Amino acid sequence: MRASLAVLALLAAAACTPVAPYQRGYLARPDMAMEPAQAGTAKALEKTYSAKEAAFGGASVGGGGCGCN
Amino acid sequence: MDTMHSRAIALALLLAGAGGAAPARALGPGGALPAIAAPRLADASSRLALGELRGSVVYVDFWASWCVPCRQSMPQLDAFYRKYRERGFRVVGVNKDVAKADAEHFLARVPVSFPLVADPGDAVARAFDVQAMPSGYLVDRKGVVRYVHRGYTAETADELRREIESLLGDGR
Amino acid sequence: MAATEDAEEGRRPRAPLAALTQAALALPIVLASARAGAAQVGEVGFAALGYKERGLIKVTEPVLWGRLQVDDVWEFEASGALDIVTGASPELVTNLPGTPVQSVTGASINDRRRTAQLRAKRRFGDFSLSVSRAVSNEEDYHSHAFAIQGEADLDQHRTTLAIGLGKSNDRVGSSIDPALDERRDTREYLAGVTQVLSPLAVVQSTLTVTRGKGWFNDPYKSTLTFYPDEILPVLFADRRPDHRNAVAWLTRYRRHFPGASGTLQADYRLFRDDWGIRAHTLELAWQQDLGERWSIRPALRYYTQGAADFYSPVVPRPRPEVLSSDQRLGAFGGLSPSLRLVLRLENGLTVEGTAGYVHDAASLRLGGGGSEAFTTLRAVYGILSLSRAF
Repeated sequence: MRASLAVLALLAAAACTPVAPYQRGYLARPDMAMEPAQAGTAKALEKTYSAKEAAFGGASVGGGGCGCN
Repeated sequence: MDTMHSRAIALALLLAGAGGAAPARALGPGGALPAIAAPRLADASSRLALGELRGSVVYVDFWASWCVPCRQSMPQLDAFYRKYRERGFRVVGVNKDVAKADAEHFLARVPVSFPLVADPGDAVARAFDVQAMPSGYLVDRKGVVRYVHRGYTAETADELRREIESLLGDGR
Repeated sequence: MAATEDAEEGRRPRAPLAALTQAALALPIVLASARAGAAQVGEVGFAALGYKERGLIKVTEPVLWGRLQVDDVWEFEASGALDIVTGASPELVTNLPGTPVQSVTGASINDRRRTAQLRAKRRFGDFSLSVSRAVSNEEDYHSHAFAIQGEADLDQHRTTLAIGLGKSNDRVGSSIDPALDERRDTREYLAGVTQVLSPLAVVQSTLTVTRGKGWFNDPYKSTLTFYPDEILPVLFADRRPDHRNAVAWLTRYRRHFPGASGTLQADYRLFRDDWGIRAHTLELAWQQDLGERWSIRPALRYYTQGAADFYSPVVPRPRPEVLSSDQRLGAFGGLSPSLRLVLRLENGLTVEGTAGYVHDAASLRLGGGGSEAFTTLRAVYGILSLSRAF
């Protein structure tokens, strides 16, 4: 348990190189967004999969339900 | 064994802390305008040295196409530049885009007339230790930083107008 | 473009969806009238989806959305969509041919679903608060959802923490049983962290807990089982527990490679619920720049799930309290490759075309053990999306 905590903390330290506020040019790219599709594409895709699978959700709350036959 | 794990955790936390800490040398009011030169955005073979601007009231603005408030700040800075230029006001825009094309697309939509420089190695941003985007540094005629603006809202414009007028010496 | 969308939507007035949709469509007008004052950025967009599997055609037309950001303080988002589903829906699982099979009834479904969503976000320095409202209406299902979410930016926006609360009050009906009118109420809790790892990498991890109560039975599904020692078969209507508590843990990683002008996008979701379902979803994508305007994004999505405790394609003896032969609750896996082409023009116009293939099969389940009665699904879809930024 402690060992795994230490490993996690070390990983976090190693993975996080300091990023200044002015070094965000790449992070601001559209393909770096958590939702890489446009809003319309993302909504259509989510419905396509969730109507056929048991798993749902994960990214947000408040989307509401559907009959989804 | 237990102490070894504890040490590992302590070390890891120390490293994590050191990685996240910001250097305590942010340029603020009272500091001197860094004597640094940077290549011009339009023509990298020509350089602009901030030291050459001594004697003018200077606003050094860090901006980028991906910075949302910059859409507001850039045209307003351009308006200030046009209005007060005759009285000795200068603006230098330091671009922080990673691709020059991004900056060019932004400028095609939001054209400005003041000089712009690139900062590919972050030397200028580091010299000012920029803490936010956009960041603007208003420097008096003696080369002393008098006001720092981090972020940009409608209030920033009003404050900036008063500050420029007071530094130009005939504000009232 | 906005004017034609307006006219399009105007032909289908329906409250309260109409009101929400009108608000979405009013965004460009607000934008134009207030432009002189505060700094505003935003976008309006339109998307259409076509989906086809054997015997079932689904069209989402149109998805309209708008987003408006005022002064880096307020942000408004609105969207509306109309889904049209036509074709046959699988309704009965029977072991009449010997082994259980899913039979598709001849009855054609023609379902229309209207949805709308509104969100307002206010920024207070490093904190932000957003509220959202979503409405969805179809002949046999009505949903009203509400959510509130707070975010905190820490350490010069390198770390963002999010917590959210949502609730959804739904009404379940049935087009074949007009008497059916039952409630399904859901509460959602969200906690997430987004961490900038380097100037080239960012990771987000979000945990969502859902607690649902009410009617979960599917009125269109039933199981018809023949026993070798009985003359009459047993017909068992789909019956599920009256609650469903689930946990979804989604982690998303983005890493840009400047040398290759490409970005790796990796998403993993772990899902568990108290129906006994465990599912994993992994999506890997690479978005490659092709010059300044074009980019291409090949992606592969893999999904695998275990069956619900009460899933069975035949009615066992003695008859259980809860039983469903709905194959979406069975054990299966799915592979879905897709390809997206994106065109971004300097004037703010973005065109996105996505084509994908869905293949769900019992044999694709991770580690084997897929449900034998699962009918393999093969489907294709295409999405075209257009947006204009201001």
